[in-house]
Amino acid sequence: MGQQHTTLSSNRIILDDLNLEKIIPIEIDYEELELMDQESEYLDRNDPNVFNENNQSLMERMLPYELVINVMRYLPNSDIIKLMRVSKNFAKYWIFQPLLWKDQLENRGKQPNCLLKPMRLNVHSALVHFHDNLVPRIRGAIKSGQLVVGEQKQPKIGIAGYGSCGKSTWIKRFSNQINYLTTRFDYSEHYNLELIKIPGINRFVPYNVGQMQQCNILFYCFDVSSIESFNICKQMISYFEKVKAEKNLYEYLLDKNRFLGLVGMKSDKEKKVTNSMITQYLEEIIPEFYLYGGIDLIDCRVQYFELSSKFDSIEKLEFPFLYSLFVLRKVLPTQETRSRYW
Amino acid sequence: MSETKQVELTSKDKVSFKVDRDVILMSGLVKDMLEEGDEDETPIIPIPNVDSKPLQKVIEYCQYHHKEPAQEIEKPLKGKIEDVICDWDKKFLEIDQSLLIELIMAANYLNIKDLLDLTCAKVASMIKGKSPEQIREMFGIENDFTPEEEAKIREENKWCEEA
Repeated sequence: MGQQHTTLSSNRIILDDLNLEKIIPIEIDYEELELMDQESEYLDRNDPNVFNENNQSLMERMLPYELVINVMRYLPNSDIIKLMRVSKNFAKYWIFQPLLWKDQLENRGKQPNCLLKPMRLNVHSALVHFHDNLVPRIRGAIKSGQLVVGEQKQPKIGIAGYGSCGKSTWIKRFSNQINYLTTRFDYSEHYNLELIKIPGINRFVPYNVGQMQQCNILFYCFDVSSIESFNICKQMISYFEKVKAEKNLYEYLLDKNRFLGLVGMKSDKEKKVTNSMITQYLEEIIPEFYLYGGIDLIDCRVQYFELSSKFDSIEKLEFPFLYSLFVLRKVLPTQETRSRYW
Repeated sequence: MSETKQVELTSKDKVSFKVDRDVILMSGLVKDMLEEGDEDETPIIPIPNVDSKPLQKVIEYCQYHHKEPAQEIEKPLKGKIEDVICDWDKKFLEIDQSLLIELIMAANYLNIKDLLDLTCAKVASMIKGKSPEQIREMFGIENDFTPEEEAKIREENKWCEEA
């Protein structure tokens, strides 16, 4: 504890500290990746739009594909991404080698703290998209202050959930300058958003739906070591849906430009709420129509995050905020950037 | 068994090298070939994919490292490769780029993992921390982006130079 809590207090620190390597590992289906690797349909070296035969380095000309990838394995992600600026071959061919990203991900931590479900995207595109598009955009938007959620200059974030699951510690660790015992935090000075913590809730409180309704981002927290807390969390969400949404929750989120984050806390403890239980629940929230074909990973209004507010790095702890703010961003990727990836 | 057994390697350009059997057993390929069981005094092994210059370097490497196993190089590199390898390796890597690339191919063909790791990491280390312009210069390639493409990629990747 101590000085590392000041991350949110200045954008500069965030940018310095938000090292790509430290950002979440994604749950990956490696078999699918290998399959992708064999297909590699959009990586045709004979296609002059993809590969420029006349501008190859000695390494590209002489080494077989696996060995070039093997060289790149020794580079940190930031240097790999930087290679995109060297030549078209790197920007359009080498960077998109599935084998490369598979390895980069394997090198990272094992426990996913964000259950990204690549939906319309295939796994490889999702990965590349995540690395070279999503993360830089989040940073860029924060840095430039261009992040606008709807018409609101100051987006509101509501954090509700099972009592004593670690919500307060989560928030407290963002900043040691703010008294976390109050229910309302104002980060406007640094971050241009407002954080509202709904105080420890038990099953007899009507879940403060009114307050949650005002929020652009709704985090519902539970304790991964307690099935009961997960059930209460689900009840809270369904109560919200019944009382305030007046229609399917996902439609409501889309309509009002809202984001719902399900947050499994205490990931350092033995996990009783399994990934399949969570996935099943997420699939209940997201209608089939969206789940199978109608949605991009980064446009999905629902996401699961997993945290340990005591032991996780600040980067991990602030990721749900960055991610959800990004989903609610006003500026969507252009058509042109989309077509590059899928 | 008083005298060390030797093996004769013949390079692509038909140069022969006599090497101690123990030394060249570092090569997975040679090891497999020797195990295929010939009892010749000095078996001759053709290495048709490797020229004499890189082959000689490979032999040098094996002569040193068959008794001094190399330390594993972590991926991705934290700093420069020179920070994590021994002095002998540093000196060994003072070679030009084309020989380095040939060495990667030779290490791969001869199946010498430590040498492959060392040489690949060396190339990565040469890339690491350089600007795109410096990397192009090092690789002898041109900037083949249109100004628009370049501006776009630059914009997208701004963050990674500032971080």
